[in-house]
Amino acid sequence: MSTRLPRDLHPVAWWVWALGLAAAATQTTNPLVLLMLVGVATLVVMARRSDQPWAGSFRLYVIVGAVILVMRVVFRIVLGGGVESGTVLLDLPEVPLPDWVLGLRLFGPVTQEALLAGFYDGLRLATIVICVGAGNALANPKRLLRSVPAALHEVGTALVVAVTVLPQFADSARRVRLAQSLRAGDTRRTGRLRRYLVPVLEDALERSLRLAAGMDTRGYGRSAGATPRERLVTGALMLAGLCGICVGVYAGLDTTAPRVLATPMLLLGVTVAVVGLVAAGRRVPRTRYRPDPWRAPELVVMASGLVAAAAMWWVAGHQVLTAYPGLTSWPTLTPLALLAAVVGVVAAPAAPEPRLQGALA
Amino acid sequence: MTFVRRAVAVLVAAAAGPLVWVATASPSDAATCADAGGVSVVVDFKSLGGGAQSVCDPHGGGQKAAALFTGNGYELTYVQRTPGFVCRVQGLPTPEDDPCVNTPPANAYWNLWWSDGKTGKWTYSSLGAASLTIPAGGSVALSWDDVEGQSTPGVAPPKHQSAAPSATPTVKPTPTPTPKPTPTSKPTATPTEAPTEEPTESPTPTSLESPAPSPLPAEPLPPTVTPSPTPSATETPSSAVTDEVAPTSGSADAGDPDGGGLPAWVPVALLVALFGGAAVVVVVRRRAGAS
Repeated sequence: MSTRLPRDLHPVAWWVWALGLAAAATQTTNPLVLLMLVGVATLVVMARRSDQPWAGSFRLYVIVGAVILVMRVVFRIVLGGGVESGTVLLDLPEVPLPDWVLGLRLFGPVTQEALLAGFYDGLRLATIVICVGAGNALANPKRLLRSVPAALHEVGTALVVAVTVLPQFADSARRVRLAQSLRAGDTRRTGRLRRYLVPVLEDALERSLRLAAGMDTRGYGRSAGATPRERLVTGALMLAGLCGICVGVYAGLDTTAPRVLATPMLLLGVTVAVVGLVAAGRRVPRTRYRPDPWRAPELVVMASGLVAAAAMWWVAGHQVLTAYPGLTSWPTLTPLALLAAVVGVVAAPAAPEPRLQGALA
Repeated sequence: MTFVRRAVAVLVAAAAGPLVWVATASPSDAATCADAGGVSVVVDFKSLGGGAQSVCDPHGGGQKAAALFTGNGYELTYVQRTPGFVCRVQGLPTPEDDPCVNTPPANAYWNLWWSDGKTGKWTYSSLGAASLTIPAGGSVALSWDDVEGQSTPGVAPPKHQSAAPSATPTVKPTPTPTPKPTPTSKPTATPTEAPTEEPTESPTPTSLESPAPSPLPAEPLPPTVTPSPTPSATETPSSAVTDEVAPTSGSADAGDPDGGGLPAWVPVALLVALFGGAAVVVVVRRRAGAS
């Protein structure tokens, strides 16, 4: 296709792109924009995912998104009937409930508005989930570990171990089943389960012990050279930063809270947390072997995600009826909203082709 | 705008002195019900502009609150994500102020009040407008609340069981908000001193040379209809329901750049292209992998 050599794009670029799309999705309930974002994420994942185990997880996220969508609509039918006025599509009888379940109603007339509201709302959450799934499918979690700050290295290592457990588990289950199918033995259901489960669990345990020994040898969790005072300062900084971020986010979401607590508090919390991270990172000496390059494709991919988020943010502030369309008319699009919805697709041609393991073999 | 209107309201009301306003100010205001058969439907726009309006629905007994409002010409819009939460009445607040997607904050939403017609007090509803049933002789009110805490409607609910309404307008029984130092709760205590303090123009029962009968005997409660007395004559056209709707909904539509809207086929075509492209990519890559 091109003269570029296949390589993995920097995982941070993929994550910024995916979170940019997700941020754009949070700013709108316009189903056209949301469906386009889903389409963009799907297209890019299909074009640029590798054949590593995590690349197959995208399908799972799509299923979760579909379940969310269906559940939202079903709950609108079960609990939201008769609440909103509008075009009645289906006049279900209302189940009478006693007085003490104040305000709860089961079924009742199903209106088009209620269904659409449930659909829009569910589609927004489903889109966010699918965008995060795209990031998961595209970015290599092991390479991402190299990009986390030094202070988070140990947490990151634990996360990577957790992420890779499931594929390993599936692999060991496959091996055990293959081995068992070659032998005679108990074929009853319970007996078969025992014959099957015990070796798999044993395998998992052995693997974990081996991994732990390996990590121990390489000095995992070693905090040599830090005085108690340093540890205290680092811990206090981290906690204070975390509290500041919590307060800032809460005040930002609760519009009745004093504004001083919102953005200033959030910035303060982030600053303190960054200082804490730097302080903590100084005691984790770590070198990088062949760091991932950051070239033009990374910039383009990242920029497309950021542009989508920024454009949708502007639309939500200035073209309110485009971002949050009414339930009685067909949703419309403005050029800017369209740009926000489809700009992410730039990532597909911009990113280099992924390295395929199958191609090496 | 609203500041000017409020200032004018305060000035005029202050000049008017301790006279009591009783007359109806707009054609749609049929006042609260005089007999125990109907349901008084009250909408108090407060700082949104439009004053407090009330209508008597003679056949409203036993109906749901939402049906009473819509049946008397008040258009209700609900929050998208919270079914049954009234977000707009007559298109107010405008979509620019609140897109009505998430539940509005506690200092900018429509309070739902009701009264059974016996106590003469407003009760804050613990049910949604679609679930609350109003008995005959009762009252229901939507009151815009832009303060911390609750603010009762500027119109008192009629009281049908008591023998005779008390003569002085100071009765207006709204005990709940009085301990709170919020400005809106002030006027309910003594209407005569209201205009000097309060920012919302709704519950000012003072007025000018109204041709009204004496407030004392006839009406169940004097300050029943209080549509921002005279400023409506100076600044706002009138507090009639129909007059109020047209400009606001018009401006709401104008907020959306209609000229910038794209034809409907553009997004549909793009959607088809995106998902079709994804399918093509899958097929191409699979074929490339197989060869």
